[in-house]
Amino acid sequence: MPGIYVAGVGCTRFGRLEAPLLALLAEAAQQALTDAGIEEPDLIVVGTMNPEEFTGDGTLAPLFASFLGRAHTPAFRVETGTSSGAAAFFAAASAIAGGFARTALVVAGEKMTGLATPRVAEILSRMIDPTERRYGATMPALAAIVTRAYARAHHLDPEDLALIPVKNHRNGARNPLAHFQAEITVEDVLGSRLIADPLRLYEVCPISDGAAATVLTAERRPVRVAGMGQGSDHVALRHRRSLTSFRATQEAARRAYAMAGLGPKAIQVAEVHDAFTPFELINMEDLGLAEAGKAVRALLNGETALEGRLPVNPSGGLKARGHPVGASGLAQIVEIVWQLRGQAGSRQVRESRVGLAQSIGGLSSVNWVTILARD
Amino acid sequence: MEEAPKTQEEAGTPAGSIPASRCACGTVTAPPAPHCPECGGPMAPDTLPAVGEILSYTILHSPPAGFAAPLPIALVELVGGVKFLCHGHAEQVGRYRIGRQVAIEAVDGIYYFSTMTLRERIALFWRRRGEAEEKVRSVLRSVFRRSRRP
Repeated sequence: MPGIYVAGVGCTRFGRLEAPLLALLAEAAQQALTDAGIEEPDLIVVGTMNPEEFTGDGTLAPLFASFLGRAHTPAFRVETGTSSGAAAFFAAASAIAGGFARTALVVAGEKMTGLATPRVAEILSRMIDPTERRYGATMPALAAIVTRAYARAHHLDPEDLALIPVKNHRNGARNPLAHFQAEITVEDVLGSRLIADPLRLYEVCPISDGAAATVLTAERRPVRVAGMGQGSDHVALRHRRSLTSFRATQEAARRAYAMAGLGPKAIQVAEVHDAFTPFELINMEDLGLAEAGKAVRALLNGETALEGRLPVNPSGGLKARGHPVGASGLAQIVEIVWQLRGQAGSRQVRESRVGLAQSIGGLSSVNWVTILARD
Repeated sequence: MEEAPKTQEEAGTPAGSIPASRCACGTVTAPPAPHCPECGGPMAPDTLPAVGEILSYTILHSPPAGFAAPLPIALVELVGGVKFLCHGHAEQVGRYRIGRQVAIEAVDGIYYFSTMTLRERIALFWRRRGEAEEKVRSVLRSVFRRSRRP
């Protein structure tokens, strides 16, 4: 298979933003095209979850291509819920690997803060199995059920789990693009209100606006797409094999490692999907970065901190960088590129050659793992 | 889309059990479903004893429109491994534990779980013990009959 390289990256500030969705997408896209030194990509792939509901925009790919002044460039949109950004990256990389395009612009974003929180929650809850939704199950409710089962299985205290948002806010405080750039304490986490017992406000990602972009090329560049994989599972929680791990991540990781010809030991920096912060530990275990039940040790020992052996979520993660749902999967990849290139500023981890991004769609029904390497 | 179960009377399900579906591949689901979630095959109607245990639960403090807070929701596993979401009763929240035995009731197609009193748990224990004894006796009887065959 021909090589797939990341030629350029871009990302807007995340948070509650004034700019409309198309302008956010264009800002990220222009940055990535400039960074790549490529003016006319062969293909544009857009990743968003639900612009129809969030902003009233439809048929987004040609709409965006026209907005960018590229009305005649082939363009399409990819959607896999909250992992749409990673899915768009996969689609564009596949087109390059298959020889359908030499260069591709991938752009992903979401504009969510225009709607009231209950309305946003209702839109997000459509990723839940219809039967389970009849019980009033929301994303935080199902995540809380998973969190309680995981914490019980591995004897974790709320104080242990509170260290995850504390770490990720510490990283976010060093990221000028993050939605939250203030550090928090364990007391702040444990004192925040219960959303879905045992999950508290500071363990749940915010509602954000933002966009990210990458430019891919078949020509040799320093950062290479080493591996990609997708894994799927039942949407319904009741049909899942396990409540303390996500099969969709495990299978996505298996495929990505096989393509890369690498194992988890090769990973030096990772961005994982911490929309509900306890998931960071589950994700590390599903990715093979820690044994089942042992991820908490890496956290307690500081191994996953910026200065640690395996920094996890140096960007601040979805918790602190923010979670414009369609954008997040691609923003993770952008962060890994910056870390591998040594361009991550005050949150730069020690020199790394291999990094991984993991993105969750729905409550882990359509997940992606992407491995990048610097040659 | 899965068919919503009717009330137990409408579904013709005996008291103390809930309607379910069984596939030839061995998968059992509740609420009933026309197609197997594992293999896609057709499913036949079945019933399951309406007793299970709490696998995990949450008390939702920001429920969606149409639901009152606090909203207890549990993932319950019946004897035999069938799992489904259930609503709890807000006044029993203090008694929720992972692994706790609960009784299930279907009302208008929605499952509710109740923590069982000590008396109910003893009654269940005796019933199960009775079933177990009956099984042992029948096995012994068949062994005895086989041993007497020429």
